Amino acid sequence: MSDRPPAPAAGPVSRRALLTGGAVTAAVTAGAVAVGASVLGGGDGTVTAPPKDVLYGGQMVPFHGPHQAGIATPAQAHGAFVALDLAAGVDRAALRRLMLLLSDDAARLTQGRAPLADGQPELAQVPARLTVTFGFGPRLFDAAGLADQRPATLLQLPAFKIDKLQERWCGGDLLLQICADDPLTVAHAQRMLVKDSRSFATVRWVQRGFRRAHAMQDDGVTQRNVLGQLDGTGNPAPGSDAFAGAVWRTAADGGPAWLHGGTTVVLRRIRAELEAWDAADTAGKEFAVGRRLSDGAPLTGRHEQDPPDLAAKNELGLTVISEFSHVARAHVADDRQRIFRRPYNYDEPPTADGTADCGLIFASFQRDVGNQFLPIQRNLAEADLLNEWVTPIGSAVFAVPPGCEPGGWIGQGLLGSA
Amino acid sequence: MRPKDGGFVIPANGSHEFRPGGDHLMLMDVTTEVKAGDQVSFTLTLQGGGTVSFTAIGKDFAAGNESYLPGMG
Repeated sequence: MSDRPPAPAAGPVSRRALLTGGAVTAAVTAGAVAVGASVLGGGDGTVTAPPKDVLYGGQMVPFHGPHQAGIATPAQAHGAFVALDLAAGVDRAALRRLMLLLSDDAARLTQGRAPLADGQPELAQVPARLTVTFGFGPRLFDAAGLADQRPATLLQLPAFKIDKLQERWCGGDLLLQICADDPLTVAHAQRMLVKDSRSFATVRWVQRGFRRAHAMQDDGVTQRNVLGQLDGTGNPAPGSDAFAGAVWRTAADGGPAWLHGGTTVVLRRIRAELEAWDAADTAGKEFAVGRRLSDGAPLTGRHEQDPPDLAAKNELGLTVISEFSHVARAHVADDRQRIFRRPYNYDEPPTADGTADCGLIFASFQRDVGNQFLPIQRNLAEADLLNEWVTPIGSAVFAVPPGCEPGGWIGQGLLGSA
Repeated sequence: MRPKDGGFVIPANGSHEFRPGGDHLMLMDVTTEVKAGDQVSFTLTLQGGGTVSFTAIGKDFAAGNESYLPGMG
């Protein structure tokens, strides 16, 4: 197979054909079985080009700092999202103890040290860029007797007509986002944190996701989702002013002071309708998204990072990028209105007849759910051609407290005062 | 599990590891409930009269198959 991207779709495409997912192409199989050259050796299973001698398992991300890790951190290969429900009677004092305990666990685990009373302390020795990020669900503020400290727009999202939400993937009082480049590291951290939460909370749901393995591509490269799309183009770059302005809350935002230096996260479990997607042709997929599948470039541009020209018209006088495409519907002009996506893929076992059960654990960070995420989501729910192939089945929102310094713990600004 | 006769001798600037299933401090007849996440202040008094202070976090813990009957192995 050629690595060269195919030329952009030539000529106008019938909108009706696209909307119905028609224009099915016959699968072209010639050459499709050829694997990339020079990866495998001469049939004995050896690798001909051994990697450099690098040990990524020892890499660590600081736990302490003004912001929680796991947001601006380059997305690690594996992620577990754990939503806990607080047990009846868990009040502010109990929440203080819980967060102190979990912060202590996380501070140790992320630095390659076993938490106290770890039954498998040896497993902590490969931190693999482990980060643990905590989020507070809307109901936590009621349990703490701090409803007045809840950010004004931190509410479970309204129902959208595209949603087919399943209760088992929705809501939650406390989020643990556990990410690392090694799945055993994630499993061990999850075990310790869940075990230490048992006196306070029950497990509501766990969503496990993955991206490309570490160092398969540079951290800055936009990765593909299970639909094959480059997913995350247009994200503000971590470390940039645009990122800071979109993600981190400051005094200028108003709202509760405890959240300054923090953010919010929206988690949506979005099923990919792969059977229908496979039945669409490339031109139809690209028309729906507004970008080329091969390299993610907008249909009006040449490179992935070229800004989409939503006004450009073709010879028929129609916009090249449909006003109903995902790119057009999700477009925001103001950096402050942007969101930062940090998604993971999921892939559960297919059904007996081979129907895929996969999709995206969509994680979006923004200062304010109501002012940034909701307008975009409303635009998408209203009319996004991509909706035909993606179905939200889970939804949850959390406030993400700022980071803490050594000796402190996550959530201290909210829960710390007696 | 049994009490350590004569206590632990830790040389100056040395260390002695306490761990589940190994040597550890055990609190007997604690009158105040220790809840998970509680910060508990300890002061150890050494034979020479010096003290060592630290803070520990209370945790739920499955005890690694130790018998917690005093005097038993």
